[in-house]
Amino acid sequence: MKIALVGQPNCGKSTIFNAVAGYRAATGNFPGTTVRLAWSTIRLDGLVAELVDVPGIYSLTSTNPAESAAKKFLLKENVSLIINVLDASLLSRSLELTLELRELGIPMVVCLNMIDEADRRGIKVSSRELSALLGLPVVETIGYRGVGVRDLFRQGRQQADQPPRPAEFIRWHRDVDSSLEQVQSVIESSSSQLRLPSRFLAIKLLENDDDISVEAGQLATAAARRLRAEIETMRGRPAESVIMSERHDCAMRLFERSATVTRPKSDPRAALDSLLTHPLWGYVVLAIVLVGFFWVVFGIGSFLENAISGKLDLLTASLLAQVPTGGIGHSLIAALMDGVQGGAGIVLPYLVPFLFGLAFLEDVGYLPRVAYLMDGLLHRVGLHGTSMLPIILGYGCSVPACMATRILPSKRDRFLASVLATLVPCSARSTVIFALVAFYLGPMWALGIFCFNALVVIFSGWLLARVWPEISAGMILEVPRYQWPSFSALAGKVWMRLREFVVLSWPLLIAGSLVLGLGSYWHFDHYANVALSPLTMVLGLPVVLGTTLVFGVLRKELALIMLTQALGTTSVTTMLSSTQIIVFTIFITFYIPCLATLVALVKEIGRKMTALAAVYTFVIATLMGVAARLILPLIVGR
Amino acid sequence: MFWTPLRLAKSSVTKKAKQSDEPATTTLDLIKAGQEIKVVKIVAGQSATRQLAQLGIRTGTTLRVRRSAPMGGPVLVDSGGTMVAIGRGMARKVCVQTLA
Repeated sequence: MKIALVGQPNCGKSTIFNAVAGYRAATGNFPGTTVRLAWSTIRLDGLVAELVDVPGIYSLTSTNPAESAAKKFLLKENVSLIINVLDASLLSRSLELTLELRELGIPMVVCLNMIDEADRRGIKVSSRELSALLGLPVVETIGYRGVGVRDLFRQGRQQADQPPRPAEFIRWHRDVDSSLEQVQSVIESSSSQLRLPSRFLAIKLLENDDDISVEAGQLATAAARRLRAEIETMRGRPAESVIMSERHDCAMRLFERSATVTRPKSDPRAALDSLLTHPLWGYVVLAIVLVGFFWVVFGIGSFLENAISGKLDLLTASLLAQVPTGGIGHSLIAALMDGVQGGAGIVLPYLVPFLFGLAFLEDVGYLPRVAYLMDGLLHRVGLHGTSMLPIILGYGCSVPACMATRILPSKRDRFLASVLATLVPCSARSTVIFALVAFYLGPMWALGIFCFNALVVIFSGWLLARVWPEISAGMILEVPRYQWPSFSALAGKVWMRLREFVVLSWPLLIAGSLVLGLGSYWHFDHYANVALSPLTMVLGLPVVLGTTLVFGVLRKELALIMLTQALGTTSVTTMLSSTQIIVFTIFITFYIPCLATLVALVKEIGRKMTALAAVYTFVIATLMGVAARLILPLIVGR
Repeated sequence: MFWTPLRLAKSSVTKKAKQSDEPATTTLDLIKAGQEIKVVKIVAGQSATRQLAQLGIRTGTTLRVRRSAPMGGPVLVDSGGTMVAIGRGMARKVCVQTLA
């Protein structure tokens, strides 16, 4: 049994998915958090079912890759039950999708989510009335608190073998209906084996949906073409627009019959929004938020780093005292403890507060406001505000950021946004900046690197937009209302992202540390360092850092740990000058995306473009590194 | 404002809309924050028109402009309880009439 959660963007599908499946799907308060299908096996009163979280769609006509993935899934896979999730506070708009989904003939249950929000907005929905009008079960839920979710699945299960019956209330104007019936009869007579209901195919043909033409056959497509022209002359506008209006009217009638609207309760969030989108204060707040974010992460991180590293140093010393110096055992223990310390003492102290902060900003709904504020500026470099969402997500991790570009309709915008998103320091690279630059040279230097990075990203956007000129379609972005995130949702999200570090990167880091330790014991690392010496020489870095740059391609935070390993000390400043620390950090921040990101990039923009992106980032990194090497001594004196 | 007619004359799109509708018709990008408006016509491409319609912005609907960002930034409108940010170029393709 396959159950699909379907609904418009940001209506809370993933929240309901997580309520049933545990924290498996990313949630966030902006449209397009989910860009691919998430699967989970669940148990429903003893029955095992597959639950699929489908990316949000406004309708079954897709405008971007995330939406086409959703549509393809619904049309091609054998879905046995659709749970149609609606944001009850946006009922009339959401019902348009419900009406469209109904035509698929798949058993369906309607989930009126965010019913508390609707209440606050003065919208009282009678779910019994709505259920009677739609001929479908309707269940009220509050997803983030888990209210009604159990009932939803119970009702869904009962419904599972009953496709939606025709409802008396849902009907279109007679002229459109008769055109539909004509197309429908052509489809039925020309093909005997239909996987989809003929009425659904007829509607889609009249809407000029190319994906359907193959399914419905040539005869039907020709008939539809003729009838579309007929509708257009009769109604004076394109057929797809007429059909959209039919659905809209029907949804409005459903809304008026089943809901009453009273005065909304006063909402302090409206006042907050007028501040955060203010032409002047909006930008001031944005700057405060970003700098504040930086200081909080640095404050917590450096405090934890000091506390944890001190303890681990003592432990390492006492362990090393047990074995004779100069032996292989000594090297192994030292390398092992370097790896352990790198994870617990250097990466985690910064990573955890960073991920918490980012999760908070995502869930509270601030990111679309940032997109709104930045749209004007981005237009100057040839991008638009929606591209800002993946780029900001890049501060968390480049991999989901590249995937998030699927919310962009244009191929060129997806390429630009994914390259820029990989240039932005992800949490791993931010950790390097915090733990190396901020910790040793002071937080102002680190802040400087973040600002410098932002400038390079903007410049790169400008440059790439000139290389691939195209008039950007312009932004149309839904800005959701603020939501106070629950602590458990935040913790779940942080853990989902942290788990990858703990189960994958950290062991890799310890293994890498051991390899490097053994390598230097037998002097293998020498060859790698010699091979990379042209690069280290150009950058003015010690030759021993050559191998660390290789490790950086595997995982960016590895470079940091390997740095201390390669130098043979954790007090970096005794071995490297301030300039060298900054050059190293800048190079690590910009050069070739890590392995996981490269794989994600190949999937999103193809091999050729990925190679191009890798070369571009490498060139930028080298140029910026050399520039920093030449300019910084004039400022810092060394 | 004296520059408004100039602006309209420059854009052929708005000129066309002006001919077929009442003279008070202008485009969304020129509306000040706080103003209530009625959508008269949308002259964008098929996909953009659909995207706008899905967010409740279609011919005949009433919207309120919440913000109009400076420096060629987007327009923020209130559409039946949803806020939608519309880039300036796109807003220029939405012909509207101001309501009192």
